[in-house]
Parts: sequence; C-alpha cells; structure tokens
Amino acid sequence: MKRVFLTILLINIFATISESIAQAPVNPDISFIGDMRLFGYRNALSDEYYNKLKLNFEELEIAGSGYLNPYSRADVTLGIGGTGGEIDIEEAFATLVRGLPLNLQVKAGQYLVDFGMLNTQHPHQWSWIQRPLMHQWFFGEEGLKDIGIDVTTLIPVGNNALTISANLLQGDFLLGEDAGDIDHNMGGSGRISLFSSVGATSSLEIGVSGLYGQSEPDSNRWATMGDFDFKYKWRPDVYHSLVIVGESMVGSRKIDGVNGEETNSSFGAFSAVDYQFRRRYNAGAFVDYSQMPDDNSLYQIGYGAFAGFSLAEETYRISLMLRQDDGKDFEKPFQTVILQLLWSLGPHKPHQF
Amino acid sequence: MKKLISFMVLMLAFIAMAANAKINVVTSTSDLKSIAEYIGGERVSVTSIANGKSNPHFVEVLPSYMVTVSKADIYFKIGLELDFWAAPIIDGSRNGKLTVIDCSQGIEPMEKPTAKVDASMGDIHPQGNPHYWLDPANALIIARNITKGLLQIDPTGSPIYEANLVKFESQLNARMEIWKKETEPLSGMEIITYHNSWPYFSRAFGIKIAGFVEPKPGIEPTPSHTAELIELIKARKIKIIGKEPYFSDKSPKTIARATGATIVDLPPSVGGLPGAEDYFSLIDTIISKLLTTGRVR
Repeated sequence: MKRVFLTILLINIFATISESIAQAPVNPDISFIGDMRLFGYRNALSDEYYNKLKLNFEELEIAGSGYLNPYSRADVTLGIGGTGGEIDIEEAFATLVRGLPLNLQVKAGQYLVDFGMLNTQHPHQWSWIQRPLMHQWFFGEEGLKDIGIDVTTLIPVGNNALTISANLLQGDFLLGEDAGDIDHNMGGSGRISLFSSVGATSSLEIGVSGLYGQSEPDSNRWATMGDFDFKYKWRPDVYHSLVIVGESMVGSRKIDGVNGEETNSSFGAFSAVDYQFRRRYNAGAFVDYSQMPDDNSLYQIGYGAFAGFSLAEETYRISLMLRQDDGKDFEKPFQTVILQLLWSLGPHKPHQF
Repeated sequence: MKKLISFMVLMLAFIAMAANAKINVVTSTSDLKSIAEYIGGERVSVTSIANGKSNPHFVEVLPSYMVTVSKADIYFKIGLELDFWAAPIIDGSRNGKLTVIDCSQGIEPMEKPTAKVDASMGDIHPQGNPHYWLDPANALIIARNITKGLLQIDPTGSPIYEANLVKFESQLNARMEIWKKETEPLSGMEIITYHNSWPYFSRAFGIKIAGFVEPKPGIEPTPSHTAELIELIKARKIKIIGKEPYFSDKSPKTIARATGATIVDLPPSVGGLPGAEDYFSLIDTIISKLLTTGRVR
C-alpha cells in the first residue's frame, strides 16, 4: 500500500513538473513508459510459476533528458515496480557532448555499460520482450549497470563510423545484488564498433568488447570477459524493415574446483530476427543460450517467436511472445507465454539505429 | 637554401589548399540542400541527411550521419520540430565548431495551435505546420537565412553569397509569375492529400485541401475515416488524391476505386520524383502533376 502511494506521489510530482516546465523555454523531455504483462507458464522450474497465469505491472519507467548547457546534457531513467517493487535508478548520467579534443565525449554517472550492443538498450526497445539469458546470468536482471566514467571517440573511416569507448567502472557488476556493501576494486571495459551503411537502405554495425572486473571480493578473484555483436538493418521505408541482431559473450574466472583453484570459461549467445511487414505489424524469432558464469556444465537454451502490433509507433504497443526453455538438469522443457502492453507518454523520440 | 625553398613551396601549397577548401555544409533535407547550393555556389559542398524519397518526419539517427556532421562547418535545419532527429545527430557528431542555423527563422508558421496540444490530435507540431518550404515566398526567407549563416562562417565569400541571393530572388520572382499563371486553372480546386504537407503550397497557389487520407497527422488510415472521406469526395466531386511518394498507395487506391478520383504522386521535396532536381524544378513538377491530372479530368 505504501509503495502504491509512493508511486502515485512520484507520478504526480513528475506530471506537475512536466506540466509546468513544458511551458518554459528550457525544458527537459519527460516520458513515462508503462509495461504491463500477462504471463502464462507451463512446467516452470519454481512452484511460484508452475502452470500458472499471472498479471503483472512489470515496470513504470520515468525518463527525463535535456541539455544542461550548450556543451553537455543529462539523462535520468527511474524504474518503478519490477520484481522487487522498488524505485530504482536505472540510469542517471551527464554527458559532455561537444567541445572536447579528439572527437571525445565523456559520460559520468550510473548507466548501462556498452559491453556489447544489447546491454545498452532498455527491454521495452526489444520485440522479444525479455533480457537475454547471458545478461541475466552474468550480470543480473537489469544487465550490466554500473557507476562509471565513459570516454568515447568517433573516428570517421571514409563514410563509416568507428566508435571506440573506454569505461572506468565502480566494479561491483559481477559480485551479485548485495555488492554495494562489499569492499571491492574498480573494473573496466572497452568497446570498438564499426558502423557502415550498406547501400541506401541497409546498415550494419559490428562490435567487439572486453571487460575486466572482480568476481569474488574475499579471494580477490577477477574475471575477464569478451563480447562480439552485430546488427543488420534493412529499412527501405516506414512500412518495412528487417533487423537481424546477434551477440555472444565469453567469460573466464577462477573458481574453487574439485582439485583446488580452476579456471572456468562460460559462454552465452543471443540472436533474433525481427521483420516489420506492415507499418504497425512485426514478427520474428530468437534463440537464447547461456552457461552459468561459474559452472559451464550448467546451461539453459531458449527459443521462441514473437509478434507485435503498434497502434501509433511506440506510443501503444501490444506484443505476444511464445518461448520454450530447456537446460542441463531440467526435468522437462518449460514454456512461457507473455502478452505485453507497452505504452509511452511523452515527447516523440528520434529513432535510433 | 634548397630546404628553405622547399619549405616555402610546401607552405604556399598548404595556403592554396586552405584557400580552395570548400565550406562543408550539411542540411536536414534536400530542399535546404538545393537552396544552399544555389547561394553557396562553388564555395560550398552540401550534403543532405534526408533524401527527397524518404519521409522527413522519420529519419533514423545513424552513426554515419554523425560522421558527416563531424566534418561540417555549418548545419541548416528545417526547425518547427520536423527534423527533431537532427539534435542527436549533431550531438553525436561531437562537432564543437559547428554553426547551426534554423531556417524557419522569420517564417510565419501556419496552423500554429492556439490551445494545448496533446497526442490525441496525432503528430501535431506545437510550433505550427513545418512544411513551409513549399511556399516559394518562404523559399526566399530560407535563402536569406542560409546567406546569413554562410556570411557568419565565411565573411570573405560575401560578394558571391549576396550576389547569388539577389539572383535567387530574381529567379524566384520570375518563376512565381509563371507559376501563378500556370496554376490559374487550379485556383479554387479542391483536392485530398495523404498527409498535411501542403497548406503552404495550397495557400500560395489557391488550391483547397478538402481532407486527408490520414485521419490525424501521422496516424494510419482507418476504415471509418476512409468511408467518411469517400462520402466527402463524392459529395464535393473531388477529382484528385495527392500522395507523397513515400506513403503507401493502399488506402488511396481504395478511395480512388470508390470515387473515381485519380491518385497523383506529389513530391514534397527535391529528389522525391524524377524531374524534381532542384527547388525550382520541384515546384514545376508539383504544378505539372496537378495540371496534367486536372486537364485529364
């Protein structure tokens, strides 16, 4: 009850701020994104979900963004709801966008780290609805989110864009949910990506990333990870598009084995094809695989299909996802059905690649 | 001594190269590109982000556009929130020396909402209808804004830019007289258009827009709205359904079959159809398309 009251209060505060500053010349863009889901489970692993139907208000996302001055901007995204039902700072960062030498941009704050392409995106951007298993297993339900400083440069290579970024991170991203209370060392990551326009209507981006972070504070063990990602998009007009994404990651860390300390290397991969066949309709399929980060003998593989209907772009969207998962030590495969209603209230946002 | 001469030759070559270097101009749309090329002449190299064949409301923010803008000296935007996608492209370019000029400065926007605007009205632009370049009188204001921008970053090009502006104005006035005469048979004629892209054009040439295929700006046609539109076309004996080339012809065809009206592809931007190669030929093409269909009818 207290949580509901707090949520309503927050929405009212944001709505009042939004209403009053919308009239002002210096106004941040404020958006509300609601994510409501009807879940159906068959043969789920836990009793909580076993052969059940559930209706959840998954999350309300409140996003604010705008310029601080001619050189910098700030972006804040709060998530309310979710599994824990708490108010969560999903992202809050300031970016120096121009004026720095060497085409640099510097971002500082809490943000989704660009370790791979998919990790920087919020789940409401995906037709497949759920975060890939490898993100959940290696980094947690919200993916790789950390406090850090990100330095990025854009290098023109002909008409192609080479982007290089380096992150200095607080470093608790591999330590689990209670990592905030644990004394740990800082970590880091980097990504190189090349974007290229393939003809007049297609684009391709390929990226490689690396990550270094403490995996166990007590024994001072560290993990190294690598990631490869690609995205191909064909968009001849507003009525048709085809998106193919693929990402794989591998992580290596020291663990306590049967014969003492051992090195465990685990692998995860995700790939999806999303086809928009009319202005408001899309459909596609995906494959999702991950090994446990500290035990590569345990794995889960999921595959499924999705379809979506957007009433007017991203403002009101209904998606249906069917998925089957199997894995090591699973008694039998389990199935999930999700019907999602996603709505977005706020200014029209530019469409990113 | 030889080294000194070589050094001086090298320096002179650099100075000559710098003197010959063109001003790098990026525009949001092909219409601004055309006018910027006219004003800038040989002193500028112009690239447009959106091409005339694509819907300027929906341009994807691509890293390759950021690379293009990173090399630019000046960026000309449409403004009135049509090219709201330009901001992340400009930010992503990291270009601290870029001059950004909003070409809608001095334009009197049509259909500027007087009450509160919200999304129930569709994709309404709170600052007014942004398709202002389709009125030739506004093309002159755009040309002046472009001249002002070029003078700001390249004052030494002043004689060329100002002379080209005078030439542009004179050519525009001459063509306007021809266009006005050509469109006399169209004066007062009612047409249907797909999107609300044509209020400035229709005001300039006396054409009346009786309705839109879209029920509200940016909203896909619905069966009930299409039925209403069919009734309207029949009742008012409207003969032309104007369609921007990037929209689907599915609903216009349904309406045309039910009413006997003719679908005409009208390019709202330079490059939208063959023949619309610059600003002047764009207006020529639109008028010619309307006249041809009007006469056939």
